[in-house]
Amino acid sequence: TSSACSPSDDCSGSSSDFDTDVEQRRKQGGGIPLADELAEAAPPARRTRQRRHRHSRSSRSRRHRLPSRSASSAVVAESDYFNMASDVTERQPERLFKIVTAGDAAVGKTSFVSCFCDDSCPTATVTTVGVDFRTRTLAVDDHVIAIQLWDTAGQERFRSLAKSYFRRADGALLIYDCTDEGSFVGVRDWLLEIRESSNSEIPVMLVANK
Amino acid sequence: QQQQQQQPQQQRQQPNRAKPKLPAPGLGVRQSGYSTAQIHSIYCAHRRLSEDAGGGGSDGSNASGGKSADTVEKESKFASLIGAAATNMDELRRLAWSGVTHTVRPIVWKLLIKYAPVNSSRRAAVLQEKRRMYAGMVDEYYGKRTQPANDGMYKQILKDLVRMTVLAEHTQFHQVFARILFIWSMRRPASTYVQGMNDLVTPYFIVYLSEYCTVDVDSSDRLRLRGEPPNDSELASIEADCYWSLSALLDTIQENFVFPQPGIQQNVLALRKIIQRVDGDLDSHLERHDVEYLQFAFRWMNNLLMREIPLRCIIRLWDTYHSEVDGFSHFHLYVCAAFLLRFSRDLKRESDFQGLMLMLQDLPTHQWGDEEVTLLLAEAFKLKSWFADAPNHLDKAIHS
Repeated sequence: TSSACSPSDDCSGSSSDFDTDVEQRRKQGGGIPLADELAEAAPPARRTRQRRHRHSRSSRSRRHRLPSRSASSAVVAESDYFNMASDVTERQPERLFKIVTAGDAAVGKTSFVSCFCDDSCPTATVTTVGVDFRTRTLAVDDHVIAIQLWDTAGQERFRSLAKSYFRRADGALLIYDCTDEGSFVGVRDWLLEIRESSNSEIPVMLVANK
Repeated sequence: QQQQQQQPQQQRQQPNRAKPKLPAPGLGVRQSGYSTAQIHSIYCAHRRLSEDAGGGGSDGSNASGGKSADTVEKESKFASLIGAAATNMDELRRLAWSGVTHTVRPIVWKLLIKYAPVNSSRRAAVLQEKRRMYAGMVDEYYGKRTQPANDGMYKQILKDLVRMTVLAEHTQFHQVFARILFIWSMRRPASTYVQGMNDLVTPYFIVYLSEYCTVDVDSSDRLRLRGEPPNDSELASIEADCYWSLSALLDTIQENFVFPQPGIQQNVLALRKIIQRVDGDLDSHLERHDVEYLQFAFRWMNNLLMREIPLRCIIRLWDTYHSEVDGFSHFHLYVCAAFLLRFSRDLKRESDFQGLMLMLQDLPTHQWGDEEVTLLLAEAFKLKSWFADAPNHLDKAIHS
């Protein structure tokens, strides 16, 4: 995925967002934290908490694909998988990239995103309705970057909603099911949609799945 | 006016703060924790609605033996209404609003959606006729699923059914769901199948199935059957009943599904207007962190909160939706507002976009039971009353 939008690419659209984000964090760090936030005011601790938070909550949309493991093992797995510094979650990301998934219904967009965000592939997912939001921090060439993944629904009826996400994306993952010809034919339409809806020429990575 | 606008701020906070100490209130239970006069009056209104319900809430879908005196009393009230020569629908709605007892739920739902006639002597014959009509539609339409024009939609339905948690261990029911959804889509070409409709069959299916065998839904929404599963003719009746019920439901919310889903867009907009008026701090908190309502509430509207709340709670929720006028198309909006407000404090503690979004799409409800739903409904009823007293306010707010 890093090649979909690496730091050297022209993804300037997001940098201002990211600056604002960092700015906000600084402000929050410098302000007076709420009493119950004191324990987790420091950014690294907070990030760890969020990660754990996400894994501990069971959801109807993700319940059965939640890996059962601790936050620390997640870090180890990350470093194995992406060969990155194990302290990645301790550092503030330098940049934020917004990546949107696209592709026909049931090609495996949600599974793909879960594999990437959880380091374990789910055995079952439920139909995505609207858009799901996932996130992951990782190191690429010693740069820590944050990835916001917008996992869209594939059905035609939700297309107008998906389009609004392409508009703000830094890159897109266009996924098709290599056992389903129709989903490959659909790639052309998706590519058009992405080109029409996004503000600039964003990198699109074509992914054959299943 | 001024006072009305102030109320929500105080009241929203109260239940959250009181929550850990007090047992969650059932309707009809005196609330010592809610001390202000306004709140008292709201709950009085509820008590009137539910005073016959006893304790509030149904006995849920668990089939455990011991029934409370309240449940028995409520059951007998339902039984006498259902058994009367002509069921008094106002009475039935009033009683069902605060929860239908498990044993009578199938027939009560059928009455509330006007699928079963109020005249009890005609009831069996009318249902038989409807089921026969449905069988005719199956003959007429189902063969068309392999035609090129319909093939894509049918495959889409199957792909979504395979992914449904509730049916994970009961693949034999996939065909039932597929026929219902396919035939509905063929008869409603303006809308046809939209992902999420498959979820909306589930409550009807579970409830009507419970007429024939013991049904349990575990905490992960998986369906468990105990005893003999229904035979083919029983299953055919269940399927027909589900079809007509789903059809009645979808007819009330068709704006949610025709392109580009204007019903949902409008409701999400209206949700924001309600939150702005009732909990402006929460709204500005979300805005400050760039969280848009559509990002999380789209699913709330499209799937009627079925992805946010456990299935057993959804069934209880639908007792009320079926009892309300415009329950699914209108009251649901206030339930969504109450749902968001309930987590207001937790959300305000999240201090960035990411934290907010992760929380919003995964709100901690998996431990919920009837009591939480009852409280949610009470809050929604309160909101509805405020905005119904001044309908122009919401309209103006939406169109401004």
